[in-house]
Amino acid sequence: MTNTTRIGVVALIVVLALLPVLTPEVVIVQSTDILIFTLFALSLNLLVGYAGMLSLGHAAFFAIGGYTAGLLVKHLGVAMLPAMIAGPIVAALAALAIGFFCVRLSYAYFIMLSLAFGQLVFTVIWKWQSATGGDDGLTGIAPHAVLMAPNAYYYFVLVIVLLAGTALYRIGRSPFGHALLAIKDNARRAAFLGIHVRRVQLAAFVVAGTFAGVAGVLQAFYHRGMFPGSAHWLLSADGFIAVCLGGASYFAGPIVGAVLLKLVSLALPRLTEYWMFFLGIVILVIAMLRPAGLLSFLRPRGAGVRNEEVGLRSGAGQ
Amino acid sequence: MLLGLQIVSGLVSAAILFLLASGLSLIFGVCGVLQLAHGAFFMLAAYLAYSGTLLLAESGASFWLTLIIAPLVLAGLGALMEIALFRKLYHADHLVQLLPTIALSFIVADVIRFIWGLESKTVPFPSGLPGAVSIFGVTFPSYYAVIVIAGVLIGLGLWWLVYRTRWGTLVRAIAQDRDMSAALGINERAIYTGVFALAAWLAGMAGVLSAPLSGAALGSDLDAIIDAFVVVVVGGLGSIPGALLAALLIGMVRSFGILIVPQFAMAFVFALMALVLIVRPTGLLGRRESISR
Repeated sequence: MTNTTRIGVVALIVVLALLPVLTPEVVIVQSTDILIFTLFALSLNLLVGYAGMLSLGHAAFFAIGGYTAGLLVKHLGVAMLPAMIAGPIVAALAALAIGFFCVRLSYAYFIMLSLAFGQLVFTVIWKWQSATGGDDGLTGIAPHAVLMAPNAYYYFVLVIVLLAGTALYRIGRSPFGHALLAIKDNARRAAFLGIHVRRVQLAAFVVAGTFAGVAGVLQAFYHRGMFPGSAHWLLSADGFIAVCLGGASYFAGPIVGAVLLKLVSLALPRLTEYWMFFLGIVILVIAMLRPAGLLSFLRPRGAGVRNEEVGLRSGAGQ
Repeated sequence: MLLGLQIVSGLVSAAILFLLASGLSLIFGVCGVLQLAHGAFFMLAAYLAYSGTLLLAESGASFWLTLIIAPLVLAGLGALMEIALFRKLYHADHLVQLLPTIALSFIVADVIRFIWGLESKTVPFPSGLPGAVSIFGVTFPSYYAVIVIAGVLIGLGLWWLVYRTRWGTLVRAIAQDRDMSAALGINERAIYTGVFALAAWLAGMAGVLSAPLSGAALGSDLDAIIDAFVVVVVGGLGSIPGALLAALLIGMVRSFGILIVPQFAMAFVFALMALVLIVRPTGLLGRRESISR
């Protein structure tokens, strides 16, 4: 991290911390949603950007985290905090089970299987009416009394997203993160270097699923409920688009992409009923003109727009 | 004769699955692109079937004319898409290849919503067919036979095209070694465009043929692409015989699964897929994958 970036990060955190003082409540309500979605996109980028595993079923773990917490609170009367811890744990276990099948050597198999299993989770949630409430959703999940006010919950989300984001940043720069980059670059070479490719990929899948589960529980208590749409492929696709728009090979890529995508999908529906069409066009144009994401405007094209940006630059071998 | 009827409906579902999956597999095998908008093409074809049968109603053979025209329209769209978009992406990252296919499926879905609205459409069974036929004591709608026969004919045609024509030889050469084929002077571009057109035509056939059974509805693109993915994973990516075998297997599993647990027939399909992935990770007829991209 250069000094400029460090100042930028601190400034961003200060702005986010002052946001409830500076802006009306409507902004805070939307910002909480954006923060949660940003964490979701960041967790996805551990797979997409670091490991080169293009998951299109990541929403499954978001939903499993949220529904787990919701079911515990609603049916077993568990308190908020233990439910919030249990959600990501169950999401991790689900990621372990699903990842076992999805982690294949070919990238195409991974894409297809992640989408198929993601949609399987959606179908189960949607049709298992007696447990999940099906289409009507699982409602009546209230946060702790202290966090009832939008501003209080905003700060709560902000702290957790910052902590989780820092953790993901650290994970990306750890030996494990470097192993992922090595596999993405050349799986065969990584295997020759003694990296157990599938095991490391599965571990990445589980870690990413866990953090998606954290985002899921945050949303469950925020929206006072969970709905099957949270497992749907459209959320997975949104996460994927956010990652690509910002730039998968930058740690900040998903953050930029998530904020941008959320703002666009707040603004476009006010202008036109057919906003998905225009969103599609925007994505298409950016994908064709800026394949490495919007953050590549800040850095030169070519060799620079590769693994170095994710954190290798200060690592060994330089 | 419940058993016989289940077998027939299994064959019907297999025929549609095969048409859908073989196109997807072909594009991936030859061009290396995972075409996520393939499901959107299927959905578009079903809507074209709805409008086609209405517009051509006076001809008396509206469905059959639509069955010829709509897939050709889609083939044109497929070719256009290859020329305008994918041609520029063959040397790009997998990530960069995938994003436009997602964007395309959004765009197609919204265009459909714009033209046909939110309500799903039903397409009548084609006129001029006897109501039901009986074979070996099993009675079923004659349209089922049409789908199965169409599936068999297109399957044979595809086999002939890929294994018995010069074009097919070129396609297989590119699928095996892209750089070597280019070095030998094969015009890759024309082949790629052709493959995209053929795959879109197959998706179009699948869409029109299935329209009288399941109608045209928003969201069917996702179901279709997931069906195609499952077939391709079970059969082996890039293998057309594999797609055929897997389509038959899954068609049957689904048809009999509905008898046992109607709501979760999909679970049986996934159980089959999980089993195949454990026993043969590259699919039933897939090539052994090596540890590289």
